Amino acid sequence: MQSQTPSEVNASLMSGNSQVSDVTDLGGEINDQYLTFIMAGEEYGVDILCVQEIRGWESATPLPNAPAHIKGVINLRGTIVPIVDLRQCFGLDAIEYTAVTVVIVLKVHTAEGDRIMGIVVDAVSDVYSLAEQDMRAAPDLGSAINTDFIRGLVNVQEKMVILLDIDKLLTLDDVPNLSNLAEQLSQA
Amino acid sequence: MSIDLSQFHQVFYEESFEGLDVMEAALMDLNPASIDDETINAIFRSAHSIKGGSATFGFSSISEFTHDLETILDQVRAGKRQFGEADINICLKSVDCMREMLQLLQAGEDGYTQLSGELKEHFAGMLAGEPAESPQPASNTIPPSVTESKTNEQAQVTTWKIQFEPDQDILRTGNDVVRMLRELSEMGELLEVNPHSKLPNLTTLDPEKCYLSWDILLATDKEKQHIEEVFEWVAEESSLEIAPLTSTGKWHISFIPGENILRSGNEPSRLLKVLSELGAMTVEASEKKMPALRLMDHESCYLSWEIDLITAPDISEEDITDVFEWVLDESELDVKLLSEGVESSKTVDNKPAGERAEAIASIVPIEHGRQGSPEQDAAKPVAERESKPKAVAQKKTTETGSIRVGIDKVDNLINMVGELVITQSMLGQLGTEFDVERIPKLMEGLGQLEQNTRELQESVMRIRMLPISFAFSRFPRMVRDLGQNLGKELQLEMLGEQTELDKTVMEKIGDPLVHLVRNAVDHGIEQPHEREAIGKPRVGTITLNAYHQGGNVVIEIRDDGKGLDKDKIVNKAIEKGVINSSDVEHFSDEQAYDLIFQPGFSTAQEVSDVSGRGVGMDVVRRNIQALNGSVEIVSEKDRGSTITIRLPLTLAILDGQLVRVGDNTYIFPLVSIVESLQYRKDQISQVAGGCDVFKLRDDYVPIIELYKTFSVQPDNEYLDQALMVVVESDGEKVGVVVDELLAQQQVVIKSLEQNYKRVDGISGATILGDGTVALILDIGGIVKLAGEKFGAAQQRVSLKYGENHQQASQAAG
Repeated sequence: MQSQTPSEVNASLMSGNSQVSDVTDLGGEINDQYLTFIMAGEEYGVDILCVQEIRGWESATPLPNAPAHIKGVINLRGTIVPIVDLRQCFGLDAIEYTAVTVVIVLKVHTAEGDRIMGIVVDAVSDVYSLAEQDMRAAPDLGSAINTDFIRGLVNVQEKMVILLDIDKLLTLDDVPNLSNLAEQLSQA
Repeated sequence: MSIDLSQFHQVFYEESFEGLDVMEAALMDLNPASIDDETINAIFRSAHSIKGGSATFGFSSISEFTHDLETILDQVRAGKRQFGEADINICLKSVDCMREMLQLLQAGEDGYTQLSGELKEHFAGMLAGEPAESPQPASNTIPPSVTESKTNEQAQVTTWKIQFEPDQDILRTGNDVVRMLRELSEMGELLEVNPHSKLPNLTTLDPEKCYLSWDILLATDKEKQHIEEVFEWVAEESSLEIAPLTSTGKWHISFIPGENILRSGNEPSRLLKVLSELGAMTVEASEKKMPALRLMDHESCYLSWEIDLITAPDISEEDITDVFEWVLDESELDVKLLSEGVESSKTVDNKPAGERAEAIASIVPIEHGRQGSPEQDAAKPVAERESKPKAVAQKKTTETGSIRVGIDKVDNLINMVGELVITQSMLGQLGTEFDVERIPKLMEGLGQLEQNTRELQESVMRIRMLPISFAFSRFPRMVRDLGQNLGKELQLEMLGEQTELDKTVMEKIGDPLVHLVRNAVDHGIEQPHEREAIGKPRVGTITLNAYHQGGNVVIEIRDDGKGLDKDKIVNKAIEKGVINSSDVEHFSDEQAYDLIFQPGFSTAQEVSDVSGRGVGMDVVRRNIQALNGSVEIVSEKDRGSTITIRLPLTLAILDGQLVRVGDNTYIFPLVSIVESLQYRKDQISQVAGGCDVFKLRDDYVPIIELYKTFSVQPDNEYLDQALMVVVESDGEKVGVVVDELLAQQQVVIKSLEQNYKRVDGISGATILGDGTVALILDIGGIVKLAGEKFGAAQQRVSLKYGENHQQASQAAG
């Protein structure tokens, strides 16, 4: 697992479809590709087809009385795009944004149509091709934690990657505290 | 040259719908007591255009229907028919019916509806039971629609001789003789169509002129006026004679001249011409005797003729043979009398209509200077009719909304673009040879560019704006019908119809408005006797008012009815389980009125046709909110209620005042700003409860500190010396404290909801010149938000007191 700068990942995203061989192929049939990113040492993945682009952090215009994890809105070529800090969203400690802080711009499907949203993550990691059978369902963590937004767990090179269903995650009204999600998941 | 008529269908529909609107409006204006000729004419004209259009496109359902309606209107116009309230109702119903039929046709169906059948029968009844003073003979009153569908057995078939010599410029005015002939052929049997050509020689021929005239024999059961109608549009510029041929002789002449006929100085063409003076005829030349080309003698005549001749009854066989007197010796002539009088048309009747029509069409355009291929033309209507449903169905799926834009708006746009191009070239020139001395010139150019851009922007926005009368226009009719249904006397006032509103907003506000007006009529206005009992005029008034306020369009629906009954609403709400009875005690009027916006709520005693099904106000509110609007009710018992809808003017652009609070830039809509001032401590006073107000001349204006409302860090929290922007919201002035006033500029409104959600106190966002996002303030929202915060703060304060105290203050709040 290596961290990449946004531009490197963008490059690999663009070549992703034509040169699948560049991408870490876990054998078997290729079903989906996932872009993974790092947050607080854990690796998370989102469906690469939802990823519109990856940008460096730029300051957003804060919205009044918004929850803490909504960092504000930015101008993405004429469209107003809200930025969600996924760290704060998951109840992790906020960290200082730097030049290498990354915003992943996602297209979220909601009942009212597609929405564009940006999520702030620590760093972008890799693109994996995963087959359906590699995926394990998210364990039931009891009623205390809603795990609907976890599409599944997958082991990549002996490391657990949490695959997120962003459609569900970013349309949730209040996001559960997941400060020790990884811990709980590995225990379960 | 064949034209695909289906491309004009859409235009026809649009025009027809417009025509129906005109009819409807005119019918509404019509006062049965004194029929105004001009109004009747307006109705008649619309009906006539719809009929003409539908006949052109072969929509017979509409044209037949309209025809009957038109007949009745025509009688009214001519003063032959009384026109009462009931007749107006029938006509209005017909308008509805035609609208429905048109919609069916648009959807690719045949356009016959149950209502249309009923109404047609009604028309037939009206026409049959015509008042006695009608000068027309009884046989004429049988409506054509009936006779058309039946056989001709009872109808009087008359043969008409029509001499039609159009003005040469007839084609330029968009009239088409072929179409008229086709229309004639639909009326009955065209026995003969003889075109006479006055074609000049080729060099002086103007292809846009019509050099033909026609002699037509038409056997039909229709009256003269119906035939005249066909020519109605061209009658003024043409010479037209229509005379009945009470009975006719029909002859078949077979003429086979000898080969040497030409050598003896006789000319068959002259013979034929003489013959044609006896009556109308069709001629078929046969070339059976034609030899091979090399054997042909150019002085011999190899042709023979078969002639069908229809003459006046007094022409005998002798008269015909006389024509051929000189050539009889060397020719074979066979003259047969086929039929006489009415019989003649019967014989013709036996021919399939299609064949007839084709024959006619192929005769007519052959000498028609303009038309290249008559066969195509003739075959077209048939083929078209077959393929029509498919074409319409296709259109349905690909149909896109269109908008009618006044030509002045378009001209304006073109002008602006022209100016923009000039400015651009000026700046371009400046750029190629630039030096420092030209900076003033550059500034001037940029100023011009700015102006051009702004004007262009405004013009483009105006294209989408329509006066609200488009949405209001349906109400006079609706209110009238409702009033009749419910036995209420109503009067509708409409104000501010010229207020312009974005087209998309307009389309979506129509249904909620209908609902609200219905409610006002059904729930609001009382029965006349009830009104009189409480000293109100019998006639209830409903007022629709539209005006601009700030960046909004405000629409008010006001009635002078009984107003909302708070207790009834509350009781009903408890009954329906919308609220608990324990909540009721401290309900304010507003809260109570707000209940009617809850789903499943209706206070109508009975469910009526009009309203009371319990779906409604919640949908109204949802629709309005979807447009970023708001809806409010003000009501006073026995005085009436007013529903106020506030809608954003457009989705687009706004003049804004940029202000800064701390690190944040916000935008006030410029229209909402009353003034900006620096405020001094001595002007401020605290009102009990903790709200600051300051004295602005004679007003006391509450103060909102934006940093508190929005929870942001300001430059300083002290009110003294702070800048305040006085804004107006809902007629109330509010002072908003900001740190700094920045520029004024036009901003493009971007939606926050598109990717996020509605934020209280923010109406949208925009992108500033440096690419950053700034938020546009929603004054009304801020006031509400400040109120909430204020309330919350008050509650926190009250928490400090003892438990008893707390309860008391909550009950009060």
